[in-house]
Amino acid sequence: MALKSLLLTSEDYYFLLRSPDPDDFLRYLTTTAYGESLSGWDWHTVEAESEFNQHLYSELARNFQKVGRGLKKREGLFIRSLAQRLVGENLKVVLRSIHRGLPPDRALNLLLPVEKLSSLNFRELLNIGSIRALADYLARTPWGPPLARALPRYLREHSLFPLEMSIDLWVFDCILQGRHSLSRRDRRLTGQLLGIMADINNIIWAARFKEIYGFPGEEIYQYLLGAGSLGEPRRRHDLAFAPNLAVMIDRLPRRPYGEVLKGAMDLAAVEEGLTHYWVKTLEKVLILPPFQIGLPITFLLLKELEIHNLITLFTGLILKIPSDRLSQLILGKAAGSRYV
Amino acid sequence: MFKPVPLVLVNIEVGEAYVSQATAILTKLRIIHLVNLVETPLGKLGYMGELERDLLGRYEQVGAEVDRWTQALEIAPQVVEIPPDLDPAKDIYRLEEAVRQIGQQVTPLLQELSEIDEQLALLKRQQENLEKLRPTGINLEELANLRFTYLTPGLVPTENLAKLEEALAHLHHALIPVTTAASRTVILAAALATDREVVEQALKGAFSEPMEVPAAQGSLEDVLAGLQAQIQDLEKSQEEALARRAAFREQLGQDLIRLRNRVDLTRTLLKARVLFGKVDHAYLVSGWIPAQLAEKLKEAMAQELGEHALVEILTPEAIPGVREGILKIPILFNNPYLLRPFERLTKAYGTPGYGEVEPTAFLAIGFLVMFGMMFGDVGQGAVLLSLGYLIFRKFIRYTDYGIILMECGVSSMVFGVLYGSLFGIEGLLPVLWFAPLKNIMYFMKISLIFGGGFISLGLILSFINALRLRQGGLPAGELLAAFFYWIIAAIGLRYLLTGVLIWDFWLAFAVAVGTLGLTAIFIWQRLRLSAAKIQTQQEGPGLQILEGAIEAIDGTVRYIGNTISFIRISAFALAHAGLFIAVFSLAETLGRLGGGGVFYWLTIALGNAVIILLEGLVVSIQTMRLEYYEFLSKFFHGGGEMFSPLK
Repeated sequence: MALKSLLLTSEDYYFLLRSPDPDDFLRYLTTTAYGESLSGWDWHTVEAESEFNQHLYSELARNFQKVGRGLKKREGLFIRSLAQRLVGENLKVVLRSIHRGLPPDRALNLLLPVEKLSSLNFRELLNIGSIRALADYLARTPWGPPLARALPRYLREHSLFPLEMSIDLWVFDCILQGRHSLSRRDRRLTGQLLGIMADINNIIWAARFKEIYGFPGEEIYQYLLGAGSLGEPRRRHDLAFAPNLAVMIDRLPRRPYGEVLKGAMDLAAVEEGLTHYWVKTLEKVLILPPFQIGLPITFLLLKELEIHNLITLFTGLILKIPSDRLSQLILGKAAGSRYV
Repeated sequence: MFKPVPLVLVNIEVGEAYVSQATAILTKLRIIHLVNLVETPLGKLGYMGELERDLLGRYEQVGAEVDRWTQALEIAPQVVEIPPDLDPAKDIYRLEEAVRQIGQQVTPLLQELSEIDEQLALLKRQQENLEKLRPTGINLEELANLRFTYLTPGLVPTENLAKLEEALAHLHHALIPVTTAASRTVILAAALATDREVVEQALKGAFSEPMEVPAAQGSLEDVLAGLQAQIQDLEKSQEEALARRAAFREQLGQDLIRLRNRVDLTRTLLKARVLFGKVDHAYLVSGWIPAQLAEKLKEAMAQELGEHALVEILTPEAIPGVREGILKIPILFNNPYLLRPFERLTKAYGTPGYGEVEPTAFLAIGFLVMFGMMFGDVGQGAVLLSLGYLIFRKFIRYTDYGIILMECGVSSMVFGVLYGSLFGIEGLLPVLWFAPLKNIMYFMKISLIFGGGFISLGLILSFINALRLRQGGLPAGELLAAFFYWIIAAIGLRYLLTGVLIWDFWLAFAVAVGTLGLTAIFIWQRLRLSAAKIQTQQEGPGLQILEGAIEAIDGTVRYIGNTISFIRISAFALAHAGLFIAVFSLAETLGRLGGGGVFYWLTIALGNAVIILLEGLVVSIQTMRLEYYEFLSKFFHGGGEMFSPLK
C-alpha cells in the first residue's frame, strides 16, 4: 500500500470539518487509517483530549516503526534519529514535571506513547526527585551531554529554557548526524529537506526570542542552528542582531524566505507563512518518484502535521468552534491521495 | 429431474480489506446461498456476524432520497455495473454528500413546478366556474361589495333543488338557476346578508358544491380574459421549468442511477455481512453453490482477489455438520422448462429436503393427466391454451400461470379427442376411447386403476426416500401395509378387468410366502427396536408387535380408502359432461323462443364460458386435493430450505 494513501485526503478533511459533533468526527475518523487506533475508544471522558492525543501519537509511533522496518538498515537508522524529536519532547515533559513538582501520575498523561522508539523508561524518570538527579541518571545515555551542558545554567537561573533548548539543539544535531550513513543521493535530498527545516526553525526561534523573550542578540545567536542556508555565521548574525522583526525579514534572502514572508507584520504571520512553505515543500517531495528516502521522511513529517490538525479539530469541536474558523487552522489538506 | 441440483459448500477466507470486493463478486455472480456462520459450530469458535444497524439505516435513508429525486426527475430505473471497490463505512459519507448536493440543485425547481401546478389548477377551476356563470353576466366586483344582500354561486344536484327551495322557504330568498349539466345545476342563491349562515347551511344540506371565483374587478368577460392571460403565462413558466427539469435529468440521470445501484449493492453487502463470520480482521464467508459452478467461482475470486482470498470447496458428504443434521443443504430445483411452473405446487405444500425425491415432475404429470380426464374437451382445451398463451406473452409476471394453463389446455384437448367432445357437442368428432356419459362404470374402473397406480407410486417413492435419507432402513410396518394393499389391489384389478374373483394356487402361494416373509422382517425389526430402546420404552415386545400389526392394517385400509377417493375423477368428468347437457337443454329452450338461433348459440357460448370458469376451477382444486392428500402425504418429508442466492 502506498504511504501516501495512509494520509488523510482533502475529501477526508471536508467530511471531518462538516462533522457536527465529536461523535460524528470520530465515526468518520474510524473509516480512515486511524480506525485501528480509535476502534472501541469512548471519548465521553474527562480526559478525552489527552486520550485522543495518546491514540494519535501511538499511531504515529507505529508508523515510525513500520516505515523503519520496511527500509534498508542505514535508512532505518535515519528514521530512528528522526523519531528522536518525539523522544526529546517526552524528555521535556519529564523536565517540566520535575521542575514544577507535578505528581508522576498526573504527568504520565502528558507523555507521548513513544516507548517503542526509545530505550528510556519515562515512568521511571518521572519518579526522579530533581533535575540534577535526572541529569546524573541519564549521564550514560546520549541525552546525558546536552543535559549536562545546560545544567549549570539551570541551577543558576532556575529556568528550564536552557535545558529544553539544549535538548532541541542536540536532537537536530542527532538528525543531521544520522544522514551521514545514507547513500549519496539520499544524503543530498535529506540535506535539502533538513536545511529548510533548520532555516524555518532559525527564523521562528530568532523572532520568538526577540519578540517574546526579549533576549539580546548574543544569546539568540547561540541558540540558532548551524545548518541550512541561514546556518552560516553571517546569516545567523543578521537574524540574531536585527533590531526588530521587519528588519529581520528584510535581511533574509529574497528567495525563498523574503517572498514567503512578504507582508508579514507580526510573529503569528511569520509562523503561518513559514509553516505553509514547509507543508508545500513536503508535498512536493511526496510526489517525487518512489525508492528514495524523501518519501518516507515526508510521509512521517506530514503524518505528524496531520495529527496536529486532528487534535486541533477535535478540540475545536469540543469547544464548539465554527468549522470555517477551524478550516483556517488546518494545514496540508491535500497531502493524501485524492478520491477519484 | 427427480433430484435437486447437486450443491457443494464453499468457504471463502478473506481479509477485512477485501471483504467488500469479495461480496461484490458473489453478488454479481448470483450463485451462492449464504450460510449463517454464527449458527454453525464455527460460531462457538468465536466467529461473529456483524449487524451494522446504524450504517444500514443511513443507507436506507440515502436510498429513499435517491428514489425521491429519481422519481421527481422521471428517470427510468436501470441496472449498471458497480466496481467492487465498496467501503460501506466511508462510502456513506460520499453518498450522503452527493445526494445532498443533488437535493440542493433540484429542490428549488421541484418546488417551483409544484407551485405552478397548484396555481394553474386553481386558475383553471376558477375559469371553469366563471364559464358556467357566464350566462348571468354577473359583475364580480359588485358581488363582492354587496352589503345587505348575500349572493353566492353554487353547483347543486338537480334533484336537490326542490329540497333546497323547501329549506329556504321561510326566508326572503331567490334561487336563480343558470345552467344545467350532468345532472347538476349552476345556481345563484340570493338572500339577506343577515341570513347568510342559514343559506350556507341549507346549501350544504343540498350537497351544493361551492364555486370558487376570483376576487377581481370588472365584468365577467374582463375577468375571464385576465384569467386566460394568467393561465398562459403560467403555462409558459411551466414549460420552461419542465425544460429545466429535462436538463437536470440529462445532467444528473446517470449519477442518480449509479448512486441507486451503489446504495443497493452496499445494502446487500451489509445485510450479507450479518451471515459472515469474523475473527479479528479476517472474514469467513460460507455458502452453498451448484457443484458445476464451483470452478467458475474459484476462477472469479482468483482473478479479482488473487492470493487475498482462499477458496475451499467441500462436498456435502465431507461436512460433519451435514451428517449431524446441524447444517441444512438448501434445495435448488432442477426441472425442465415446461415442468418448472409446477414447482409452485410443490412449494405450496412444503420445501423438500435435499436428500429426498423431488416430486415436481410426478405432481406435474399427475396434475395434467387428472385435469385432462376430468375436463376432456377439444374446444374448451383450445380456449384454455389460447388464454394461457395470451398470459404467457402479455403478462411477464404471470408467465408460470400461462404455461400451466397452456399445458392444461393441451391435456384437455388430448382427452377431448379421446372422448370425441368439442364444446360438448358429440358426434362432430369420432370417439377414439370412450364417451364418459355412456360408459360410466368403465370410467370408474379407469379412475380406480389410475388411483391405485398413483398411490403405489407414492408408496414406492416413500421407500426410496427411506433408503436415501438413511432412516434405519425400510419401514417394515409401511412395507407390510403396502404389500397387503398391493395384493388387494391386484385381486381388485383382476376383478375389474375380468369381472370374476378367482383364487388360484399361484396367487395363494405368492400371498402366503410374501406375507410370511414380510411379517418375519417386521417382527424382527420391531424386536430389534424394542431391544435398543429397552431403557426408555414402557411397552414390552409383545405389545410392540401388536401395535405394529394394527399400524399395518390401518395403513392398508387407508391406502384402499385413498384409492377409492380417485373415483372422483370420473365423478367430475361426468359432472362436466352433465353441465354440457344442461347448457344444451337451456339453449334449445331459448332457441325455440325465436331470434333465428341467436339465443341458441349465445347460450352455448355463455354456457361454455361458465363451464370453463367454474368447472376449470373445481377440477383444479380436486386435482390438487388428490395430489396433496392421497399422493404427497405418502412420501413427502419437507422441512427443507429453498436455495436463495445472494444478489
